[in-house]
Amino acid sequence: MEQLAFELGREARIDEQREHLESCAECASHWELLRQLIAEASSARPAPPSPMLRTAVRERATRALRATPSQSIFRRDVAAPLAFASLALPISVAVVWLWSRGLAYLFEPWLPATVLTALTILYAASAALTLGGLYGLLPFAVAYANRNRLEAP
Amino acid sequence: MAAVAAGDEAALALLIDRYADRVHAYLVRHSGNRDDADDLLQETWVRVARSAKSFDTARRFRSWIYGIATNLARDLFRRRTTKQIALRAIAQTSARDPGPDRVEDLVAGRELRDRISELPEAMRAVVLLRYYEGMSEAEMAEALEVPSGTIKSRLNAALRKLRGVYGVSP
Repeated sequence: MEQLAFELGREARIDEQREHLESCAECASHWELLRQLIAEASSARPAPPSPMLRTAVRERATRALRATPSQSIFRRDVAAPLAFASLALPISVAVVWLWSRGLAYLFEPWLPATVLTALTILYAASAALTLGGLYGLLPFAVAYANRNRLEAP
Repeated sequence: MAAVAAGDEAALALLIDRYADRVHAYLVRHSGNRDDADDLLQETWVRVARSAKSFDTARRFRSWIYGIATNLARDLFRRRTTKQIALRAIAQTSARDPGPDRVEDLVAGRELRDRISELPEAMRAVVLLRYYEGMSEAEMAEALEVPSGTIKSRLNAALRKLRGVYGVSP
């Protein structure tokens, strides 16, 4: 019963649309244009590329693929970590500076200035070494991630 | 595409086999000249090969390659000094193929092709991608790198211009 009602409703809508198309020149021309576009697109297709062109395309594309490995790898794989590292560096330096200033302020009444300076240098040097080590590991991390990606099924 | 990005030449050849015909047909219609389309097809695939390694795998390959082809065709068009050099081949190439059976359809089809060839480049691209290549609005937006609202308005404007073929002035 519901199906019948749906079918009747659909037919009524189609009749309404047909009547509208008969009375409205603008919609009729739009309808005709769409019909013609679809007919035209499905009936007329230019001849495919010649075998010679196909071979030339394949050769040129293959040459281009062989010729452009290094630059693209840099752009795709190294540029993003490098940008991230450049952003992280000033933040890390600022954190180290704030810690050393804070600790110096805190221990100033109890420790002589030379000891404080030595501690600050020791802290800054160890932080610099850690940061340097982490940054030095970046290329290895990128290479490892790439190898995993390429070897993934 | 991931295989091509890894330098797999066989995968590239497979992609060319799969897409070259359709992209070539699109370029013939878009540039209006078979020789230009041949050159553009080669250049399109060279660009694909060069940019394969930076291809964002979240993107649809079809949209990407049609985007490259459209940009190259547009560049060629801009380089041309005379305005009406292009797009006669839509009529030429299609006329060689089996056309519609009815005479009225044939005449209307030719008029339609002429009208499409006279559209501004941006509108022509959306008409060709929508009706000849069967792309969705989202795919077209991705290919042409414009918002889907722009695609809609370009398509509407193009259809308004084309409607003149059927007796209503654009």
